[in-house]
Amino acid sequence: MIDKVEIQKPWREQSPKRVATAISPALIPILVASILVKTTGLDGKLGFVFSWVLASTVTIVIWPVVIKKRASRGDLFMQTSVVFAGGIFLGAVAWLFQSVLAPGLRAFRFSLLVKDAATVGVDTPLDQGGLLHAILGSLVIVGLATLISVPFGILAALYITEVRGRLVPFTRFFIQAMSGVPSIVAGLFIYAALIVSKVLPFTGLTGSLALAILMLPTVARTAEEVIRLVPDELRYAALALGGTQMRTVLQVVLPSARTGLITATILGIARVAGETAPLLLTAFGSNTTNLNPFSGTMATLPWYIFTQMTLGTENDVARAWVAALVLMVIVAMFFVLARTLGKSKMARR
Amino acid sequence: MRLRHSLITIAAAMGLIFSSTTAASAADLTGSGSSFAFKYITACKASSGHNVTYSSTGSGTGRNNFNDGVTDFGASDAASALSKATGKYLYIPVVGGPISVLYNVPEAKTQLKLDAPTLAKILRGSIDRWNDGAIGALNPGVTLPKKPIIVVYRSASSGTTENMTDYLNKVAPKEWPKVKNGTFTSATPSMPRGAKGAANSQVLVSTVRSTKYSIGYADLSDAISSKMPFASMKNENGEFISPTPEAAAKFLGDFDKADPLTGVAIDFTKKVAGGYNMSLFTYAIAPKAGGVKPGTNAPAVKELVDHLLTKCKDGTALGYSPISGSLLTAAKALVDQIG
Repeated sequence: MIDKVEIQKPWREQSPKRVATAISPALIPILVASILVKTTGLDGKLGFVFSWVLASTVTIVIWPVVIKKRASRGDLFMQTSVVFAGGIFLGAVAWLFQSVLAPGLRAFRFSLLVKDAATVGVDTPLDQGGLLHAILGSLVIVGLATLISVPFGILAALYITEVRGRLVPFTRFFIQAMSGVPSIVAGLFIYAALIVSKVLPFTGLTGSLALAILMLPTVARTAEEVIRLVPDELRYAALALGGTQMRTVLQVVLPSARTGLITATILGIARVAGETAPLLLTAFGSNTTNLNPFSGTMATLPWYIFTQMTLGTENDVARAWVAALVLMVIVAMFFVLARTLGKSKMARR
Repeated sequence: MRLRHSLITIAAAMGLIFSSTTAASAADLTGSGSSFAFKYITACKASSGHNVTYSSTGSGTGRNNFNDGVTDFGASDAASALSKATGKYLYIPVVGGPISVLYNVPEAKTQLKLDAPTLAKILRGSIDRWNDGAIGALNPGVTLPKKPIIVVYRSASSGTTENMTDYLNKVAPKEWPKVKNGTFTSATPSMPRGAKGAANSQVLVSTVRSTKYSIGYADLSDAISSKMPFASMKNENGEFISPTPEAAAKFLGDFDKADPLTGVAIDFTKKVAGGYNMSLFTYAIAPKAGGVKPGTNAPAVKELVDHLLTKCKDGTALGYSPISGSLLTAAKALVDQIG
């Protein structure tokens, strides 16, 4: 056991007055912008945002000058800038959540989660049918893509960090080049190479292959970074105990990098979960539940959102919002799962 | 031990996935093409007895996909030759409908009236303001603003564009000297300034809805659901007719021959009292016996086309005109050739 060391903060404690001087330049522009919108010709959200940004920029520059203490001007300038930037970021995230959650929750019904769209036509009332087929399709296709790309990604990372063969520069170059491939091109590749040439019809598998192409570089690059973080001393120790390289990698390097490898997988999943374009060309879509990725076309959530938006009627657009809500919740669940999986292992040590 | 356990779990899960796949009494059918017919096919597919997935890609892509043999059926608003499938396919008219001209002019309180020459001039940019004399002459008593007209067109190859340019070329050859073409940029004698492209009918309609002083063309069905106003058009009889399923049916009902390779020859200059001349047929593209994909789902495609042609009643309320009369007999004869 290591004794706990009290960390001494090298910076000063914040007094309420200092906090006020730091925060008020973020609040003043909001007040100024509200007054401007109310009194002048500028109106609407756009007018508010415009005058707010303008007022904020002016305040950030002027506020430190107005404050008398010369020594703390630079400090104050940085503080206000950080509060301002953080505020903008938080605002954007809150806005994003609000604009997806509000229409999604308004149309949400539990029955939408347990029925598929076999009986749904155009502008069908929301109490009929649902998006179960799209949820399950997304899970199957993304799951299969993960099964395909994660082993290859980790093997590629191991080749670069452990084997260190002669092809390392090429491997790295191709992984980097692949991460720049636009998603529609991955879809077109599978469409041209497998579907048009009649190797495979439209199936969930072709969708997974297209997504695997997109996932592979993300997984490989992140895995490379985390495996690199494993201290060389561990490898030397394993080798000194008489372990072969294979044993060293399987029993020392990979377990030490476990948390990072899970993160790599999750980043890969997050990269492809919302992809629409490649799936339009490969999995094609479906109205009924299909759990077999090797036969028949398959629906996915992004495809479902796209098609329902395209139909454009009130109920169909509402269904699309519910699907967007479900997609966000699923991705969020994956992140929470990854964090807990990573943490529990660390806690046990 | 743990590895073996997880392997068993995975195997069990895979087994569960495959065993739960439903037995195929209903076939899975994939199709793509006409965005004109998207709503009609989507509305009809649930009652067809098969699992139909239809993608609104535009007629050009729909024909290409069928030509490449990657879809079971296609839908197209124009019957053009397919290179790889020479003679082994059928174009069967399944539904008709008017092409509506929709506009976004907040000042226009009453329905605007247009005729083919004026529409042609607007779409080629030689009439570029809403208060132009030619529009004013057709709409006495309506004051239109002095704002530039923004034309919204279909950017990809589209059967709606092909039929509309064919109509303009036949009815107003002086104003629209170029022959029909599915791609608007190739079809128009000159591009109107500030024109906007849209990927399919649904995108076009939402672009018009969000762009003030714009004008566009789309199937009536999407125009209705957008709640945008659409113009009435002067027919060859000299009447101003609003695009309705009934008016389109009146005009389309005058044609009774359907060729399996070139479709129905529509004479847009025909005088039909109460008819809306700027109307079109959507064709289902289906494999002919001994065709591109022998044996694959052909019986199911046959049932689907028959369903779209005769049994699905959802059409009129959505803005489509059912096929009737002697053309229906001709189309049914074509359905019998699917195999």
